[in-house]
Amino acid sequence: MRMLQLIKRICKQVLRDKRTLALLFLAPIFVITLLNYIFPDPDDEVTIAAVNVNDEVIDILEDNDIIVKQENEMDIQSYLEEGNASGVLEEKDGNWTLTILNDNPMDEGPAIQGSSQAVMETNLNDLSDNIDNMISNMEDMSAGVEEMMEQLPPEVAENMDINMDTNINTDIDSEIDMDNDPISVEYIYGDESNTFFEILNPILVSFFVFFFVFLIAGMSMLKERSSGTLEKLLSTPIRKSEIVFGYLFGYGIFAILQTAIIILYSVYILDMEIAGSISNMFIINIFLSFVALGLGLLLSTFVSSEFQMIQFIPLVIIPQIFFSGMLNVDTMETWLQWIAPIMPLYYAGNAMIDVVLKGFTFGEILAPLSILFLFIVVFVTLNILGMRRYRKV
Amino acid sequence: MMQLSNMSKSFGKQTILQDVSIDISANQITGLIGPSGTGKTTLIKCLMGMEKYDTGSIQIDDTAVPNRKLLNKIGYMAQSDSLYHDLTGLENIQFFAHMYGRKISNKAVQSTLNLVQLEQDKNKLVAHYSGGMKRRLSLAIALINQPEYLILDEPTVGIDPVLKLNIWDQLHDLKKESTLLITTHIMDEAMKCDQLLLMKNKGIAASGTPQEILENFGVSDIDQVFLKLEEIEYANASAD
Repeated sequence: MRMLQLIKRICKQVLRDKRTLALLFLAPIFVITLLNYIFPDPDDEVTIAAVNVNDEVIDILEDNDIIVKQENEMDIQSYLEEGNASGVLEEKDGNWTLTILNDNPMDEGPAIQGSSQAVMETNLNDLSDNIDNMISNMEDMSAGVEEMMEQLPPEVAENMDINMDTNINTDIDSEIDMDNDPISVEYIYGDESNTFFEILNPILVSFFVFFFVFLIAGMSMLKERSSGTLEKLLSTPIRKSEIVFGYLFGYGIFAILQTAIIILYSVYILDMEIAGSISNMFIINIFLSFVALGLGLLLSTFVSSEFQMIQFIPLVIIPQIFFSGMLNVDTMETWLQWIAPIMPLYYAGNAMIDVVLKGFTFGEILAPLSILFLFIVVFVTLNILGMRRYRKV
Repeated sequence: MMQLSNMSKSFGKQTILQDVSIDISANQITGLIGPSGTGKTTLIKCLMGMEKYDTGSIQIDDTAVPNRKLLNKIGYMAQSDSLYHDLTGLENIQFFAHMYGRKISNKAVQSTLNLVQLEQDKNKLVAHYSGGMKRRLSLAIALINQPEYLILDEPTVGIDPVLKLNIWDQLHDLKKESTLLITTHIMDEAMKCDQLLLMKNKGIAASGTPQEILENFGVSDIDQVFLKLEEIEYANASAD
């Protein structure tokens, strides 16, 4: 079996090439680990400096797990640039100002959110206090009127056609419930402990599978071509399809291993929470890796050097990240929405989010899987046809 | 028997081979010689079915080229060393042997390695081979399927003189079973061939045994034949 021999040869070559092995297995683990720790934990506290802020606001901020540093008047910019706090909250004549550097949305987002919430809550408290005061004033007033009426001679009082409802309803529940958060957030998928990384990770897993497999398949086919061994191979009676499938399965073995390692590492070491089944994650990424293999082999026929292969990365790989589910395609420009469906990572990334975050079952990801399969068929066919460049039969 | 009749090949507007007709006789060493850039390699690639020719026909054993199954009968050695540098010499031979689809015995692999004197170094990675060793390994791979037709593109480049003589002896041995087509631009090697095809100006300028060609042109070595051909061409051009 010629194809099996080709697969055997590829395995031998990859296993001997320690750098390729490292690129396949260690590089994705390294980057995923890095990302896991780079994105801040939502439980991490945000520090806000308070200047001229009353205790009530500070209490609310502290209730919301924000560290408050009470400061006096100061140079806000240098204070923030020294990293003392994520934002400075000030009150001047009833106007509230939160100053941020605006260079770190990760910390500053929670700072803005926390302080505006606190200010809003105190304002509401003030409002409810005012209402309380108003009501007690009115009660006093009506009591005064009743008193006055009692002091009037009875005949006068009877003649006065005053139909006064002295029973002002003082049971008005002026107590606006301030003990709870003004808004309670319901999470349909996951919970409030979801970090950005947890949403990003399923996409990243797919991205790494795609990127590294694309690169290694493309590079090795390029090497086969530039070293003349492809020509030599085609001088033997091997079928062109045997070469393409040999390459596909030879590197496919490593792609599957890589996928397994990345997924197992994310789930068991980095504690990525998955709502769906891990086997569906495997299936998506194995399909994707074969798409990447096909695309890598195909593009390598259009380049004449490793450098040119690298030049395809910003053209072919990077744009796919934008469509992989990190950003909402539905809100993009119309012409971009047309581009999305030609990107394999669009299907894989979104399917991964569906499985990992939303717990989709195999039946529910069947549609993106079929499209990925279609990509494989198209790329394999084009590769076999492309081999005609080197041999006519 | 390999037959080319009225074969032409051009890349875009540039014609490489025009109206080439050759019969390559069986059990002979045919040398395809000529200056570089005259289309020797293109002719070989057309013969292998790697390049498509535009007009005319090529037949090997009455089968029209290109035909994948014909490649079973052909051993090919390219101009560049087409070897996997991250495999050993033995692994290279075994891999290509498997590509011919039939079981090639270890004994055949051993005798081929002996032939090119690589028995000692068979377990070294090709990356550590010298230029001459790579050339010999390529030759061994071309011989591995005991082909009826052996097409060798500049087989002795970078091989030292002693081994070169050795290989030529082997090639003459091989012609008992095989038909050999060898390109070269080393003129003293041309004299070792049974038949010569001199390529010039997109086609075959002269053919015959080396002796016949030398006599026809009234010269003492093959280099001078090409000089003569230049002169004739120049004379024709000025006559026009």
